[in-house]
This record gives sequence, C-alpha cells and structure tokens, in this order.
Amino acid sequence: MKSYLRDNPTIAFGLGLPLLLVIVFLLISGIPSLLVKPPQYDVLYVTDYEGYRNTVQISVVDQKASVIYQTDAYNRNSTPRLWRYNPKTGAVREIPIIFPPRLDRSEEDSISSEDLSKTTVLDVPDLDGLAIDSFSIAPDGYEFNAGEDRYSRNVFGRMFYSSRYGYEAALTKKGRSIRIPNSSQRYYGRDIQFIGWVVSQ
Amino acid sequence: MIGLLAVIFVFLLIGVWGWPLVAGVLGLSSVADKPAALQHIRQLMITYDIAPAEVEKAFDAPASINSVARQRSKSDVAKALFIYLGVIFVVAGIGTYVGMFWDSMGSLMRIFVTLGVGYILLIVLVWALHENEMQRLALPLTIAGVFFLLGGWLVFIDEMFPNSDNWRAATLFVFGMMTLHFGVLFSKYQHLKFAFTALFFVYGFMHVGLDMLGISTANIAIILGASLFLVGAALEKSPQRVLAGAALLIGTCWLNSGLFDLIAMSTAANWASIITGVCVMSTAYGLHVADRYPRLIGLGYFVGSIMFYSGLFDLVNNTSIELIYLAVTASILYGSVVLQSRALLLSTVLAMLSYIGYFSAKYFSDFLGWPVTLVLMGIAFLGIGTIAIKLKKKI
Repeated sequence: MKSYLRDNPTIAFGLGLPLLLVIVFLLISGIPSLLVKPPQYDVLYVTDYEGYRNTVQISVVDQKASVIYQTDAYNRNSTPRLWRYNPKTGAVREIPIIFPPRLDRSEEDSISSEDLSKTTVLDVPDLDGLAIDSFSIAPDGYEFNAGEDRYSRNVFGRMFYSSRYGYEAALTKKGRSIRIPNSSQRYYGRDIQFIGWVVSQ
Repeated sequence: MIGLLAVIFVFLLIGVWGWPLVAGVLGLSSVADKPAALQHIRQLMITYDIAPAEVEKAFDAPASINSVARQRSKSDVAKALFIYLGVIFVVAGIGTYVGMFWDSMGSLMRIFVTLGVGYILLIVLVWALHENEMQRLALPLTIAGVFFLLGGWLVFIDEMFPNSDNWRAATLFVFGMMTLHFGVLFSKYQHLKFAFTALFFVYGFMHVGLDMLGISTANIAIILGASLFLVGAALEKSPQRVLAGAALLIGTCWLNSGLFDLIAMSTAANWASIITGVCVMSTAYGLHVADRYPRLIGLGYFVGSIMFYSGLFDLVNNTSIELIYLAVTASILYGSVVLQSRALLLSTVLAMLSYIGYFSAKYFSDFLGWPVTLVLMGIAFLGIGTIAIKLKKKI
C-alpha cells in the first residue's frame, strides 16, 4: 500500500490525504459534543421577520411574550411565523398566530388615520403560561446564532458559500453547535429573529 | 501589474467563474523562457508517455513528410464537405418534420422519429467504423446518435407510461441503456468518443441510482468524485489518456464539493472552506509531485488557496487572533516560492493586499485621517508588490 501511494502521488495527495484530513477533522469537531452538555431549554424564534417594515412586533415583557399587530396600510403579504424548537427531541413546531383581516382597499376613503395606526395585542394560546428568558445566552450557556452573523461575512465567503448555509440557525456553546433542523430559507423564509428561551411552562 | 489588473477585472466582472479562466491564463503564460519551455516539454512527455528517442526522431524528420501527410486532396475535402452538408440537411429535415407534426403524430410515429432514427444512426455509425474512408463521420454520427437515442428513450417512456411522474426511474433506465450501448461500442472499437460517452452516462446512472437509494447529495458527490478521480488516474496509463486531465478535474471538483457540504453540515461553512481549500491544494501538490498537468496544478493552487483564505478570514475576523491571518499568508508566500507556483503567489499577494486594506480602513482611518491612511496603504502595497515581483523572478 505504501509503495503504491509512493508510486501514485496523484492518488495519495488528491484522494488519500483529503479523505484522511476530513475524517480527522470531523472526529475532532465531534469532541465538543462529548464534553459539552446538550441544551436544556426550548427556544422561540421567528422567521420571515423583515425588521422595520414589519407590522408585527413580538416582544418579551416580564417573561411573557406578546404579539403586537399594527394595521398594515399597504397590505403586504409577508407575515412572520413563530417557531418553537425542542432540543431534547430535535423537533420544531410552528406556533400559529391568527392575524386580523386585512383592510379593504376598495374603499380608500373610508380608511381613517386611526385605522392605520391602530395596534392590537393578538391572542396566541400556545404562548400562554410560558416564561420566556429573552437574554441572548440561555441559563445553560447556549447561544442562538442565525443569519449572516454566522457565515459568509466577507466578499470571498459570499462567492464560495452556498446561500443555504447563510441563513441557518444553530444553538452554540463552547464549540458545540446544534443546527436547528430545516431552518434554512428553503423552508421558512428570509430572516430569522431570536425571541427567547422557554425557562418554564 | 497587468496580470494583477486582469485578475481584478475578472474578479469584478465575471465573478466566481473567472477564477478557472485566470488560472488557465496563468498556466498558458508559464512558458516564458528556455528552462520553462524544457520543463513544459518534460511534462508533456510524461503525460503522453513519450520517450526521448521518439522526440529526437520527430525532430529530425523532414518537415515535408509531415506536411505531405497532412495534406488532403481536393476531392477528399469536397467529399467531406458534401457528407457534412448531407448530415446537416437530414438532421434539420427530421427536426423540422418532428416540430411541425409532433402534435398530430401517434405514439408509434413519435417513437419512430426519435428512437427509431437514433438506432438508424447507430447502425450507420457502426457501418462507418468499418469503412476506412468514413471514419471522420464517426464523431458527428456519435453526437447525433446520442441526441436521438437519449430523447428517443425518454419519448418511449413518456408514451408507454403517460401517467407516471417518476422521473428518477425514467432517467435511471435511459442512462442505463445509453451506458450499455456505448459501453459495448467502446469495448469493441476502443474509441475515445465512446469512452467519454460511456463514462458520462455511467456516472449519470450511478448518481440517479444512489439518489434513489436515499443517499445524501454530499455522500454521492464524495463516492462518485473519488471514483472518477481514480478512473482519471487509471486513464493516464491507457490509450484514452486524453480524457485523464478532464476526469481528474471533474473528479476533484465533485469530491471536494461533497467534502465541503459534509463539513459545512457538520460544523460550519468557514471550516468547510478552510479544509476543502487545503484538500484542493493537496490535490494540486499531488499533480505537482507527479509532474503532470501544469494548468491543473495552477488552477488547484489558486482556487484552493482562495477558498482557504476566505474561510480563514471568516473564522478569525473580529477575534483576538485576527492577525494570525497575516502570519498564515506570509507563511504561504514562502510556500509559493518552495513550490514554484505563480498561481499560489498571486492568490497570496491578493489575500495580503486585501487584508492590509481592510485592516488599515478599520483601525487607521479615524486615527490619522483617511488620506494619510491611503498613503500608508500605498507604501505597503508597493512593498508587497516589490517582494512579489522579486519572488516571481525567482520562480
């Protein structure tokens, strides 16, 4: 075997060394998952969240999450979706939010400025009774990472990295990284926003 | 400097697909003097298994022999011209007929004008291979045969199973049939075009088959990329060695894309970029040691190092060890001299200049004022440029 690789440096360096390097790297990268305890708390996050353009604000006040809706003057189609990830089972579940009906634009004159500035606190039954910790780091030390802060910040990165790596979310702690399943834009949407950790229910 | 400007131009206008072009140009321009020309001749002799005595014989042979051998009689040229024109008109006629009457045709007629024509072309191809004067027709007949057989089998499946939407099974069957046909042709005639076609379809067949077995895209890329790389290495020692370079290039890209995906899914994309970059450079080093395919060596060092630098920058950016990036580029600058690689030198100089520009803008723009920073950057660029030119002369 050794003499074969010596006589065929193309195979030794082009195939043998890369495969060996990747195997060693993957083994080393698996060490933190043996040393760092798994996350203990469920995480709430929202997708399709377009920042200042959004007519929906999800806020945590006194460990209670509330969804505040402002009437959309432009009837934009994009509405954020709320998710809850359970690290113990690895499952993701959508928390349904029922939005009020859109404004009827056919009768423009009947829409007053009061209608447009009206805000409503929406009732979300699945959030009732949950105590939410909105600190960026959970009590068990895990941090929620998502979006472009994690990957692809530089110009070379943008050229080489596939977009599917750019918007995935993960829980990280001391080198251990747990990817939240199906959180890429293929399934959910453009922007991911952290809401908080479910510390008790 | 012109090279640097060309790279910046390609980088800005063409994007990621410009890198292979740049590296190809680097490979082309590597022969600039007598020692480089001798090195290039040596690499060609190794690649094509040419003995020094054969070079001497070809060198001493009178030029008139070669020119006479290449000359064709006017009747041969006219014959070839009419054959090509005839083939073009026949194919155009069939294509127009199919286009005009496709909707009004029955299933059997549709199958005949596609699959039937494909098999007729295949029979003509086999006949042409047995006629010495018709050997030149083999390539166009092969291309037309592949086109009609491929389409014909898909039409056949569509007509026989109109309600099925299992495109994977259809593709698997069609690629399997194409592999069988051209594999048999290759085993009988040993032609390069049949080897290429059979390889293309057998890898398509395996890709679809592995996909149907539920294997992930990353693992399929690793398995088939590694397999194609081994095939490329084996082709070097066969009469079909012309295909070896392309097989090695495609195998390397396929394998490393799978490795990138695997690492990115397990850890992070920046680590994937670093490790895959090292793997691509390792492949280039393997070719370098084997003294083959200078253009692939340049391409491998260039693309691999760019991947490595981009991943490393992403990893250390805004951390306490950010300056390690500059130390690594300096080490690779030394490596480019040891490996005598201009492609690696170019990517390293670009990486150093980019980092110095970034670092200056980040930390010194508000401290001394932007104009002064620009002057300092200019001095730094001149210094690195001078060192690079000196190193390039040594390489």
